[in-house]
Amino acid sequence: MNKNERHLTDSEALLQVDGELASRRGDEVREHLAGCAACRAKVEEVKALMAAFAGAYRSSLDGLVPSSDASRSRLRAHMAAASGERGGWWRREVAGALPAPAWAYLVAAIALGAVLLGLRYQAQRPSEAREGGSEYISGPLVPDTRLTPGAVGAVTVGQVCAMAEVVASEAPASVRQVVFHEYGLDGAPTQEYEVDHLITPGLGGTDDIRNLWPEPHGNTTWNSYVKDELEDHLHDLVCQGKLDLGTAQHDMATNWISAYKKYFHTDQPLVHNISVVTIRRGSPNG
Amino acid sequence: MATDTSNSGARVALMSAIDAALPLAPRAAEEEVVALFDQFRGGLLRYVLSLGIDLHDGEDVIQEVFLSLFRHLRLGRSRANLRGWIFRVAHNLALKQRSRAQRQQARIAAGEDLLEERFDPGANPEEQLAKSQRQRQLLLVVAALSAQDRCCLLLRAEGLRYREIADVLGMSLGAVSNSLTRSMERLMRADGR
Repeated sequence: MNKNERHLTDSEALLQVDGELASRRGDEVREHLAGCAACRAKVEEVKALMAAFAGAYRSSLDGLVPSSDASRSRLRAHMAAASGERGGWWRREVAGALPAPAWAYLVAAIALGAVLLGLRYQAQRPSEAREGGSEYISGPLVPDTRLTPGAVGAVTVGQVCAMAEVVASEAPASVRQVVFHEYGLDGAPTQEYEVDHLITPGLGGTDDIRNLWPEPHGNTTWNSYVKDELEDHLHDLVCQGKLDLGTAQHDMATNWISAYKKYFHTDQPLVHNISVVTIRRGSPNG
Repeated sequence: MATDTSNSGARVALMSAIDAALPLAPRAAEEEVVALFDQFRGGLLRYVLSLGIDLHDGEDVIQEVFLSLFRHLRLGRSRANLRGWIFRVAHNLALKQRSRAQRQQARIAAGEDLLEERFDPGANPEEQLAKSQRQRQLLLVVAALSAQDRCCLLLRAEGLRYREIADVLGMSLGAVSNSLTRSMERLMRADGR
């Protein structure tokens, strides 16, 4: 049988519909389709099915999507405000919450690293990597304290707690590049890491490069989603007066995984990422 | 204006170059962002809603996405594959927002609920009934997919190319193709083939 006489698999039918077949196989498929009514019918069927699905998906949600006018105006206002901002890429949300002098930031950038340098890291990293229990240990689970000792601004507990929740956006590509380079990750798949603040802005951390490191996203047990959980928890404790801000910063900078275990009284992350989110199915009759 | 690709030079020099890389025609960037907002906002909102976050949070995520884009453009960063970039940022922010919301005892699978329960044709004529039932069958499949398969399928429904989906989800092209084939076969079965 010549190659172009082979019938299309499901996968190839879909690739054909989506225009995603690699060129060589694409030529064979086109030749085959010219002479095979059954495969032509199959391609049409796949096309119709996928279009029906996309239509169903859209129409099930379109009714929920409000007009974009208000949202567009809000975006314009935010952009106008952002045009005046200098420096950090995450500070916008915080700017309104802090009094101006503090916002000028007194960039004290206390290098916690001086204290922490050489403390536990050297002995610790291999064991933490093992605890990750993953095949994926090419990236650091905890940062190198020499490169990322952590840096904080001169903020008070009151200021930290007055902040609106900060949804930090991605670090600029150029910053990411520097951080990746420092960690010897040039050429690593960037989408698998978040360039994250070691000490979160919500606990007074700054976007000084000494506070940034490449954190593996989803493939390890101790990933960025787990760290977010700890950050929120410590923020809550600090704002409830149950934990000293300096202690929170120190514990975060020393070893966030140990801090997680300490503050959540657990050896394993409590919440896992997307891959294990449970799905609740609705009743077909509901 | 900074060139951000130079490997030479001390890190400090590079960092101050970045700090200096400020305004790049804010007006022009703003107009471009609004144009992209008008083009993608609906699809992004559908996508993040089906990841399981509520409308209010979804709107916030979208704001954050386009503000990031605004900074991205103002800093003169890469314009290659902006649609993939936009969906990737939205995907990541939505997951973060969702895990926050979950911790605050919010809904766990609101996206699935939306897809299933909100699909109520309401007062519609009889001839639409069969069509509606078919659509309902197809949507039920979504809830049964793995999270990654679901994301692939929905991103495809939003018109993304496989390369873009691969970038958004951090998968290989082959894995995207396999995932979509798997979902398609389930859709076929649900559709009675």
